[in-house]
Amino acid sequence: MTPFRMTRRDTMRLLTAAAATGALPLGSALASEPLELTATTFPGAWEESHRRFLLPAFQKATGVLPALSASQAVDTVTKLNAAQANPPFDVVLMDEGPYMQGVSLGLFRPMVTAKVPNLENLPARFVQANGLGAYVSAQVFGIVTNTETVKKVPAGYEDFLKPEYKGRIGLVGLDSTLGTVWMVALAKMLGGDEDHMDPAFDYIEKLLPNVGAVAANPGALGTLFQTGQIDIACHYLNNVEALKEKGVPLALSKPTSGWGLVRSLMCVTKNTKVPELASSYINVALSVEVQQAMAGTPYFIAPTNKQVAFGSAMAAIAKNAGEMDNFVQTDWAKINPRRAEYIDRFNRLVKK
Amino acid sequence: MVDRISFRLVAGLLAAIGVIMLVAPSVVVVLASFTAGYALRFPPAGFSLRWYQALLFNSPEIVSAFWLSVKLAASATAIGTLLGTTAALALARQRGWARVVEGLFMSPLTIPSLALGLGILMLFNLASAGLSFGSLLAGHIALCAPFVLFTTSASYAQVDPAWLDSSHALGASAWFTFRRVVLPTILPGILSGAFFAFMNSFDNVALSLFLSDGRSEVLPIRLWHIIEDSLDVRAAAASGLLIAATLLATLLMERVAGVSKHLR
Amino acid sequence: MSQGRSWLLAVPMGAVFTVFVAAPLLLIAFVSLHNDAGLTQAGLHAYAKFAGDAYNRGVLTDTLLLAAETVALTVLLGYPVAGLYMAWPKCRRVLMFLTILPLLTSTVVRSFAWVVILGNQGLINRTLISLGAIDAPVHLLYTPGAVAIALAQIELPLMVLPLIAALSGIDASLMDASHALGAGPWRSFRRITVPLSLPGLLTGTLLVFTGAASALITQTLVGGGRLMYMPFYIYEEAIQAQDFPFAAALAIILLISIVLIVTALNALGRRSRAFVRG
Repeated sequence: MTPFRMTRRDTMRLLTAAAATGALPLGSALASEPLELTATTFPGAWEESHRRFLLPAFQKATGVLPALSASQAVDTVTKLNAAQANPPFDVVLMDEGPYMQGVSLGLFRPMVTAKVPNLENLPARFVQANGLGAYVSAQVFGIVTNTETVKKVPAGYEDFLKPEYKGRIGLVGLDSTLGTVWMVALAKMLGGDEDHMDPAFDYIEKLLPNVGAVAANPGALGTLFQTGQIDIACHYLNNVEALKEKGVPLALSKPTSGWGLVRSLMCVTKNTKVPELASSYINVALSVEVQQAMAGTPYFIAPTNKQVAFGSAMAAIAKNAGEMDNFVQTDWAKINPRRAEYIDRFNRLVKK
Repeated sequence: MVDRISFRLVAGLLAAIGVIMLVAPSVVVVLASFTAGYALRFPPAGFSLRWYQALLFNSPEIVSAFWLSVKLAASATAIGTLLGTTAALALARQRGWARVVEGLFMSPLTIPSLALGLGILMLFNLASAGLSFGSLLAGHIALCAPFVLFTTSASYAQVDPAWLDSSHALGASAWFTFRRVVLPTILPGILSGAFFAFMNSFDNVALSLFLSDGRSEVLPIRLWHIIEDSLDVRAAAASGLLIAATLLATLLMERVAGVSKHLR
Repeated sequence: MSQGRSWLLAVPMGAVFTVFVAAPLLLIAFVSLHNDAGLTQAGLHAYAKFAGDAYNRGVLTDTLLLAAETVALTVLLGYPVAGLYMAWPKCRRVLMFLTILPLLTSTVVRSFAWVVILGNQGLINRTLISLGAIDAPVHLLYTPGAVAIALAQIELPLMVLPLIAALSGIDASLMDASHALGAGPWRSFRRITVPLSLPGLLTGTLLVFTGAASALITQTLVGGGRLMYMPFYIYEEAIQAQDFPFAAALAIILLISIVLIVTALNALGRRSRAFVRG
C-alpha cells in the first residue's frame, strides 16, 4: 500500500488555501467593533422595562445602543470578581446586599459626576457618599395570587401552610434578593431576625408539601405563574403588573406582616473602559422621563427622582417614598457574611 | 399465531410511539409559535405571525445572539475542517499507532463538552488570559475538528490506493493527485463532517456557558434565558425558524453530500 | 522526502488536541487534587467533601439513575424503530431523515418543546382535562420522570442509528431458519436478533448514557429548580461559587462514573459476543 506522498511545496499550498478559507469568517469575527457599553439588569420585568424605556432613551441621548445582560445581583458580583482586570460589564444594577459585598471587594469606581446631573434630584440618602452607587428604585413585595384559580386568598404568609394550597406555592432560590428578603421577612414574622433565621427555615420545611415549583430567579417565578405551575407566591409588584399585561390574572395583596421593600442601585464597574458612557447611562436611568415611564403601567417601579410623582397603582401602596421607609426591610450587613451558607442550606432543603 | 400477532402489535405500537416522539416536539413548538395570544399553549389561541414579526424586527438582542452563533460556528467549522481533513489524510493507511491517535483525536465526540469547557476555562485562568471570543472559539474548534476527522477518514478509506499509485506512476504531482483524484472522492465526507460540526457548534451550550466572556451571548443561551425568565412566545418563534433552517439545510446537504450515509 | 513526512499533516490537529483537549482534561484532574482555588495546597479535600455528604452522593446517583432510565427507554423504543427501518425498505429515506433531523435540531428547542407538552397548561394536561379523565392538571413537569422522557426523545437517534447499522449486518436467512425451525417471533428476537445486534446496542448505550448524564439544558429546563444533577452542579460550583477544586472533582467523578459503567457494559458485551460467535 503506497502512502500518500506530499512534497513540502504541496503542503504549503494546501495549508495556505485552507487557511485562507478559514481566515475569512474568523477575520470578520475578530475585526467586528467591540460593543460600546454593556449593562446588566435583573431577569424578568426589569429586563423588559429597561429594554422598553431605558435603552431607547439612552440611544436617543448618546447614539449608543448598549448590550444588556440579565444577571442576578449575586451572579454579577461573582462575574465581576472573577475578571477584575477586564470586567464583562461597564455599568451594573445591584441590590443592596450584593452592592455592599461588591464595595468590600473593590469592584466599583466612583461615577463621573459631571455626567450625572440628575444626582441633584435624588434625596441625599439615595446617593452613596463615595459616589460608588446611586439608588434607582425601590420595589415592593407581598403576596401574589392567581385570581382565577385561587378562590380564598391567603391573608398572610402563615396561611401558605394551609392544606388547601397543596402543590400551588412557588418559591425562588436564595441567590435572588427576593428569596433572601422573603426569608428575612418570614424570620421576623416568626420571632427571629437576620441573625436568627432558623424559624424561617423551619417554616420552609413545613411548607414543602405545598410547594409546586422552585424558580431560579424572580423572572422565572413569573414564568411559573404564566404556565400555571404555581398559583401563589411572594413576589414583586412590578413583576405582577407586567404579567397581568400578558393576560395572567394575578393580584398583589398586603400580608398581615406588612409590605416588604427592596432598593436597587446602579454602579460603574472599576476598570471599565468607558466610565463616562457608563455614568451617562446612570444619568438616563435617573432621568424624569425614564423613571416616570418605569413607574407607570405595567412595571410600577418606584422612582427615586424627587420630581416624579407616585402614580396610581403605587399610590394604593404608599403615597410617597417616606411612607415606604416603614416597610419590612433587610439589614444586609448582617445577612451578607452568612448568605452563601443560607443559599446552600435552602438548596439542600428544597431538593426532592 | 397469537405469538406473531402480539409481537407485531407490540413492536408496531412501540415503533409508532418512537417515530411520533422523534418529530412531535418540534411540530408542537412550531404550531404554538403561531399563537395570537401571550401564553405558550398548545393548541395555540388564534393564528398570528406577530411573534415572528416581534422576533425579526423588535428583538435586537436575539438577532445579535444569532449572528454571534453563526460567526462562531462558521469560524470553528472552517478551522476544524482544515485540521480534521489534514489529520485524516495523515493518519489513514498508517500503522497501528495511527489508530490510537485517531481514537484520541475523536474523543471530544464522546466526552461531555461540559468537561472540556471547564478544563479550557481553567487553562485560560492558569495562563491569566481573560475570556473572549478567542477562548470560546478555541473550545468550539476542539469540538468541530473531530467531526470532520470522523467522516473524512471514513470517506478516505473508500479511495482505492491503486488510483494513487497509477496517478503517481503517470507523473502527477502529489498536489495534482490530491486535487483531481482524492478530493472529489472525499469531498462529500468533508462536507458532511463540516455540516455536523457546524450544527453541533451552533447548538452547543456547555462550552459557551464556561468560555464566553459575559458581554455577549450565543443564541442557545439567549433562548434558554428567555424560556426560563419570561417565557416569551418569541422563543417559540425563534425555535420555529431554527427548525425550518435545520430542515432546509439537512435536505440540501442530503442532496449535495448524502450526509446520512456518514452516520452509519 | 514525503513518505515519512506525511504524518506532519496531523501536527496541526495534534497541537490543537494537546492544548485544548488533553491539557484541559489533565488540568481538571490536577486541580481537583488541591484544597484551594489558588492551588497552593495539594490534598483530597474536594473528594472528601463530595464523599462525606449525602446530598452530593445523591446528586451523583440521581444523575446516573436518570441516564440508566434514559437508556432503558431508548432501547425500548429504539429496537422497534430500527426494526421498522429494516422491515419497510420503501420508508427508509424518510425514516433516516426523521432520525437525523432531531439530532441536528437545537437541544434548547427540543427541551423547550417538552415544557410546552408537559406543563400544567400543556398538551397532555389539556387533552386529559378536555376528555374528562382528570379534574385538575397533573404535575408532570419538573419531575425526574419528565426529564427521563425528554432525554429519551433527545437521545433516541443516538440509539436508533447504531441499531440500524447492527441490524443491517444480520443475515436475513438466520431469521428464516429460526422461523422454519418453529421459533416464535419473540423467541427469535431474544435468541438471535439481540445477541447479534449487541455491538450496535452497546454503541448506542454508550452514546445515550453519556449524553443523558451530561445533558445540562434538558435537565435544567425540564427538571426545574428542585432537581439537581451533576452537570448543573459542576457549573454552579465553578461559575457561581468559584470553587474550582470542588467543581473539578465533581467533573472527574462524573467522567469516571460514566467510564466505569460503560466499560462494565462493554466487557459484558464482549463476553456474550464470544458466546454468540462460539
